[in-house]
Amino acid sequence: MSKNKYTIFLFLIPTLVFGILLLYFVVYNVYYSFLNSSATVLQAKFVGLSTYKELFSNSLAVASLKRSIIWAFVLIAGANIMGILFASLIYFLRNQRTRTVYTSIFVYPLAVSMAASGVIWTWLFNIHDGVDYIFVRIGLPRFPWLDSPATAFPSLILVSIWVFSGLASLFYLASFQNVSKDVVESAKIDSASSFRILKKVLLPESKNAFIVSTAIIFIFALRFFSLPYVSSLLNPYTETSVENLYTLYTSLSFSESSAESVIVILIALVVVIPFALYGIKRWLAND
Amino acid sequence: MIKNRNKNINSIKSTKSIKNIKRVIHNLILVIFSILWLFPIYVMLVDGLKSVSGVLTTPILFPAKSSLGPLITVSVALARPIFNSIVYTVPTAIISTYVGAMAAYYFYKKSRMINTLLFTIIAIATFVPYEITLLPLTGFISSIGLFNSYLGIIIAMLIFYLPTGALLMSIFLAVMPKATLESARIDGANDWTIFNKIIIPLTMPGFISTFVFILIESWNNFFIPLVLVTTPGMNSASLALMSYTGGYGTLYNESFASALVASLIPLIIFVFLGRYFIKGFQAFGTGKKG
Repeated sequence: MSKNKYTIFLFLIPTLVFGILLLYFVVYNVYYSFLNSSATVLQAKFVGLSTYKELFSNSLAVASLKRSIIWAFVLIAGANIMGILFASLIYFLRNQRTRTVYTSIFVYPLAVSMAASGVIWTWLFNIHDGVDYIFVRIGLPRFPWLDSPATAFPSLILVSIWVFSGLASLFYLASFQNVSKDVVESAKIDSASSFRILKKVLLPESKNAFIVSTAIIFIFALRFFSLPYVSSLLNPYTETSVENLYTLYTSLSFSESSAESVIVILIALVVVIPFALYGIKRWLAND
Repeated sequence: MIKNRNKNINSIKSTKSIKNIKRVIHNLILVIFSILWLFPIYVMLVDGLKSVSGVLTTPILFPAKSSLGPLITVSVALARPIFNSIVYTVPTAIISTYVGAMAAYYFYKKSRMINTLLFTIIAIATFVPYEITLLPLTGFISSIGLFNSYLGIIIAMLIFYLPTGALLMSIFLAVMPKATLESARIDGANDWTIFNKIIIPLTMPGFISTFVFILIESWNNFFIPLVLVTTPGMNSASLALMSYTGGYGTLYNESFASALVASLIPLIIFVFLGRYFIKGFQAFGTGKKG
């Protein structure tokens, strides 16, 4: 029996080792960001916060950090709105099979790699052969999409909304289905419109869906790398913060890259820690 | 009386027709958004199978004479990257799910404060933007001599997906009644037997969800192979797409064919096991176990 007490700990060890390795990486970045390691420095030494000063005077890095945050917020707004729309359209369908089919159609972009989406959408955004071909034929102006600094970033945000709206709709649909059927049915008997049921009955019960989709989409948005990388290789107008820290690394500004990593993880933790604490209660609830 | 009844019938008729109009609009909106959402699939199929003359004479949105040419050329070029992706992701998904389930079993048995802390750390590890580990990760994989190797990629992926596996399996395990364990323990079964003979079979749907989720996520991971391999022969499927991104002067049929071929395995998995993939995401969100 006492032997049993210790063997159970062995079950945790592999996960713990890899988890600690990951945390060690994070801590290592913090340590490294206080050095001045780069191609031009022979012997890296401790320089305190001066690498951070350098980072914050690097306009590309600052712009990429801002861009990642803007991307996250615009995507959260877009995906939540589309997610509510899709979830309500699907919720009011009668047939379970059609529900499943539509859900799959809106969710499948999540299964396609962002790199493949990048290849596809780059061509759809092509100003000669892509959707502009139709725009011009029906008398609309040619939209510049990825070809102009002003529209390249919004174009990629659109692609990300195409990817993540289905995910948000899953959470809203789950919340809607948790609302008691009796309440919805009695509202229907009172001949309340679907729109009214949505506004008065379903959405007030969807706080959890909003919190969860917002947190998860924020976390995914901070990871965006391959979509801008593939569709507009190292274009400074679409570069995300994790792309920028990769650029700094490949241009051998190692400490600056680490400093940017630290900033990104701080931004991530603002959402991840409360979300993890909020989630644990639900995740481990035995119901 | 009769007048009144007629009025009633008329109003019933009109509410019925209003209902029908509403249903048509409802379905119409769904169909329009479905077309928009499926558009990339349409262009992948139409343009990935377009002949060179078709590419030169028609825009992307319209079909033209089809040809298997681009698909064959691309399949030959992507065969090795797809093989590599399978080698990178299948072991990653199996190990992350099984070993993650072991950790989940530990958390399930022991639920004291210290474990809540450990569990929080694992949850945080799941949601860290993995790109930020670039410098220490490449340093670590190089220092153990695994740069440019299959094992190096698998280890790197495990660092990120093992916590994911532990978190998801913990969520799926939480619904199991503790009484099941008690009766097994009374029968004298040890933890290893209980885990393999009881826990794994009883949580099979959750196990499949976790496996499918990690398989698709790691298949689509672009960054880890990008920073850990330099020889083209070690490219993953997503990474190999870089040579088809196009630009002016390139033919788009090969771009679409490459996106199709590189996405084929995750898409097929999604078609057949999509509900498991969806359950993986839902588990993070709502803690929905079923």
